[in-house]
Amino acid sequence: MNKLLPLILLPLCGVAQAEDRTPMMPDGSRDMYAGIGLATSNAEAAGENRPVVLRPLLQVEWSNGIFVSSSGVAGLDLSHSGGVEYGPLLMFSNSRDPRDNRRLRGSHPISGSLDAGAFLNYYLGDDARLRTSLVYDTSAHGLRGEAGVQKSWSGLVPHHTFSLSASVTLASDPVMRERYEVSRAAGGARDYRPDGGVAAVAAGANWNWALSSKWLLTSGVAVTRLGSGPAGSPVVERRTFTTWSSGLAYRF
Amino acid sequence: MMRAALLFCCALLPACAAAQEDSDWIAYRDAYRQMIWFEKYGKPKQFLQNHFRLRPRDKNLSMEGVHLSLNGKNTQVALTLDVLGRATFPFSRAAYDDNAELVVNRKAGQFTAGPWVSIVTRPDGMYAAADLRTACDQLLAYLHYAGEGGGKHCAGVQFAYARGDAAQVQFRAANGALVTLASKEGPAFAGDVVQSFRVFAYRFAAFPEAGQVITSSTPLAIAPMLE
Repeated sequence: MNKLLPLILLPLCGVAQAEDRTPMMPDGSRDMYAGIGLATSNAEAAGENRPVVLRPLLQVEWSNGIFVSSSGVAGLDLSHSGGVEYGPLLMFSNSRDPRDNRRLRGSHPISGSLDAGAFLNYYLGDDARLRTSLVYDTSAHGLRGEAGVQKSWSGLVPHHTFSLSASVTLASDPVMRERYEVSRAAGGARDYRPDGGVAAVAAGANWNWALSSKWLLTSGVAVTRLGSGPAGSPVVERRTFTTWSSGLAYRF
Repeated sequence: MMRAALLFCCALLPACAAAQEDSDWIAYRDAYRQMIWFEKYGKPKQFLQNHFRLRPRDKNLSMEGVHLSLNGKNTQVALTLDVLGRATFPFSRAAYDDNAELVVNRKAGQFTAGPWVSIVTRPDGMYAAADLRTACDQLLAYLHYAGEGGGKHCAGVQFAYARGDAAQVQFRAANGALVTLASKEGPAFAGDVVQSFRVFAYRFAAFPEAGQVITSSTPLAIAPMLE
C-alpha cells in the first residue's frame, strides 16, 4: 500500500448519499484539496528506510460519487442512504526490489500494482464511523483487508478537528509472503515463510486546522505494530514504529 | 524542507490576522454538506423544518446585532437570523463552486453553527394533539437517521415565547373542556445555554389523546421534549 498521507477528514457526513440519489454537493460540482506535505514514508514498507519526504497532497470528490486521493486510493460511492458509504475501490501498491536495501536480501521483488476491491463505511453517530475495505492484490494474487474505527471532535476549538482512529490490517498467505517471505537460496539471512493473518494493528491521531475556508493544515501521527507473521521476518527491523505526516492544502 | 516551512509560515499569516478580527467564518461547502441531509431525507417530514443555526455558547450572549452573511467571489447576501439564531439556508451551486464563506460579525468560538431541526408553527395557532405527537415522532426519527437521539422517546413538545410575552397556550379536549398550560422560564430548545424564554410544556401523558393545543400567538419555536 502507498499510504502517503491520511485522507483529509471531511465532515463526517462527507460522501454519504441518501434515498433520492441527490448528491451531497450540487450536481456537477466537486470538492478538491491540493497541496504539499511532509511525511515519513510508508508504514507498510517494513524493512525499508523511512526518510521524511516531501509529497504532493491531493483529494478530489465529485458529485457523482467518484473520489481520488494522493494516498493512492480511488473509488466510487454508490450508497443510496445517509449514514453508510460503499462501492468499488482501487488502491495502488508500491513496488519494492530486494536490492533496494540490505535488509531486503532474499525477499521477493514486488511490482507496483493497481489492486481492486470494495469499501464499506458505516456511521455510528456522534461523529464516529466504522471503515472497512477488502482488496485483491493483483501482484501477490491474494486478499488484503482492513477494518477500523474513527471518532472525531470538531466543536472543541473553532476551526480545529481532532480525530482518533484504530485499525487492523489482515492479509492472506500470498500477500503476506510476497512482502515478508525470505529465502536463503536467494541471498537472505535465513529461510522465512509466514502464513496469512494479522499484518498490522495501528492507532492514529489526526489534527486538521482550517486556517480559512480555503487553507487547511492537516497533520497526523500513527503508531503501527506489525502482526507476528511480519514481525518474525528478517526484512523487518522494528515491529512497532511511528509514522507522521503534515501538509498544507488549498481547497479549490 | 525549507520550502515547506516557508509555505507553512505564509499560510499562518492569514490565520493570525483573522484572529484579530471581530468576525468568524464557516466554509459554505461544509455547511452545505450538513444541511443537505434534511433535504435528502426520504421519510415523512411535513411537520419539520430545518434551519442553519448559530447557537450561543454563552448564556449572556444576545442575538441582537448579530449578522450572518454569505460571501462569495462577487456576491454578498445577508441572511436573516431570528432571535434563536436560525436562518433559512440558501442552497446555491454558485456559492458552492465559489467556495464561499458564511461570515458572522462575532469573534470565533461564540457560537456553534450547524443544522437545526424544529417543529413548524401554524399561522392559525391550532394544533391537533395527534399532529404534535406525529411531529415529535418525525423529529426523533430524523435525529436517529442523523445519528443522534439514541435511546430517547417523545415525552411532549414545548412552545417557546420571548420573556415577557403574554401569550397563552391551552389544551382543548374533545368534549370542549379547556385547560391552560403553565409557563416557566427556560431554554427554547433542550440544551441551550440561553434560558430566558417563556416556555409551555405540553406533556402527552398529562392530557387525553384527542384534542387540540391552542396558542394565542405564534411561538418563536416548537421543540420536541425527548427523554
